Amino acid sequence: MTQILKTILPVLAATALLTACDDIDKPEDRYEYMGTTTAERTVLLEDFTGQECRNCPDAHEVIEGLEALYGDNIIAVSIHGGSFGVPVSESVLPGYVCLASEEGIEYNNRQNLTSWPAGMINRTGGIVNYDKWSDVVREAIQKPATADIDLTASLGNDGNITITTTVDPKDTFDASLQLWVVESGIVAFQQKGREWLTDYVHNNVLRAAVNGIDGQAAHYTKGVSNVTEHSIAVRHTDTEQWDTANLAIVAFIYNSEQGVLQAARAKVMPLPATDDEPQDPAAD
Amino acid sequence: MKKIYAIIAAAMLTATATQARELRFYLDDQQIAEGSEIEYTTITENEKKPGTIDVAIAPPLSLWADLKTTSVKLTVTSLSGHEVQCCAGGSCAIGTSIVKENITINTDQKLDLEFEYLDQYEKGTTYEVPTVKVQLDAVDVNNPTSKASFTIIMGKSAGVATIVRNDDAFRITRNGIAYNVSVPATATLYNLTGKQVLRTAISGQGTIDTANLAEGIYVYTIQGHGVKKSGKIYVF
Repeated sequence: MTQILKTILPVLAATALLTACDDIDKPEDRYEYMGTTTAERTVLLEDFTGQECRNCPDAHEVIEGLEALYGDNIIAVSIHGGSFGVPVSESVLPGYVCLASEEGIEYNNRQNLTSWPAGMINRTGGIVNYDKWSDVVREAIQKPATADIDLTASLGNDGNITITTTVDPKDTFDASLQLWVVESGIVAFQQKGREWLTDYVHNNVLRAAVNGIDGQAAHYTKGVSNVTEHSIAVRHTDTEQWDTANLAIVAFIYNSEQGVLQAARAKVMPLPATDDEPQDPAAD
Repeated sequence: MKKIYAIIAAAMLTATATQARELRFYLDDQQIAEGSEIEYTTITENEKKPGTIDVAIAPPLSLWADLKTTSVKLTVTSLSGHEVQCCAGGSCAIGTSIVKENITINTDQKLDLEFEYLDQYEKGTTYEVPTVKVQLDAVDVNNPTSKASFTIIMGKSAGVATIVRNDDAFRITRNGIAYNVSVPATATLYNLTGKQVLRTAISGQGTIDTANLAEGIYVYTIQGHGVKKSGKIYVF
């Protein structure tokens, strides 16, 4: 019996090993069908990043892919700070533009991060590595939203941005409304692999928190619209120059139990010219 | 019969688990002997922020595995207390003790450890080149006998340090050497043995293709009417 087992076992083991793998004949067999994805809400992706982080551009590319896939249903905000962020205060304009705002530094510090890039989706599930963002976003975007947010932002001649936020809750809950100023198209330095790029285009950069580092707490009643107005001055300082053509406001409501309940984004629009203002003669 | 099934199942599990039998560290193309101590004395300087010189000591270290593995743990310990940076596996960490887990290395492939020491000093002041001593340990967690370790001394070692300064007129980029000269000139590159490896006419702004050059330090000269410049450049 022992002799038989000694003969049979290796044969059985070899057979099992050789037949364990799937046959993949066609290239399309290598892909797994994920089904269609229906976006039921807008997802917030907080990208903790830094200009001296050599692999952070890889995460930015993931964001670009997600934006192409989900459009307005994904809102990514690049929050500069941490070990690889360079504080805005170190900027030497115009050529040396630094992007880690005080708020960005604070948000990075709160996460107790040990490596970058790092992301958080809808403030649930903790920190996620960027190679998992696609999976997490796809799952999150299919969940129904607990509220709708309507957002408008306009730039006045006085240099202030006026923001009107309307939250229409589909349920009753307590949450905080957070408003951020973000800017895209910022040309500044970025470490990418071994290369130091001086003309890297930074998008979705967190510039400032409009209504405090944690936003404003409120009670939302099902079916009752909650309208708030805020304003923030555009910054033009020795170390920071916002481009008003590339600014947007991000609004989201969140709480500790459910994370981000809904998010919205609105481009900052200039106020239309009035009849009293000089018209462009070329327009006639 | 139950024993037979159990043995077959164990054989299948063993075969499907991804683990290396051997791990090796490399400095460029040179294998690093297990447990050895090596030196790396090349320092690169760049003026990124006006008035500040950024210093980088970036030995081209990599980790090789004979079989694909997804369970490599890399530990980087700064024995001299200097903070170092490691971006192996995708995310970048900085500190005096860095641990990276679940690193994937493909069969017979080298993973760039993206390891370096960074510092900076004010332009115009004297910079004291440090001696940075770091120990690197790698182990396949699923096969603990598969491991490797070594110590590297970077920067100033036994009084020797090679400083490479990048400037706007002649600097390395991902696409080659970017130049910016005010008069037509001739750029010549020599390897460290003094052999000329490249000679080309340059004018205005452009890029010299370095695809055929091995990674490392080269000495360059730029000569034109009223222009004579030389220095060292690190090609990657």
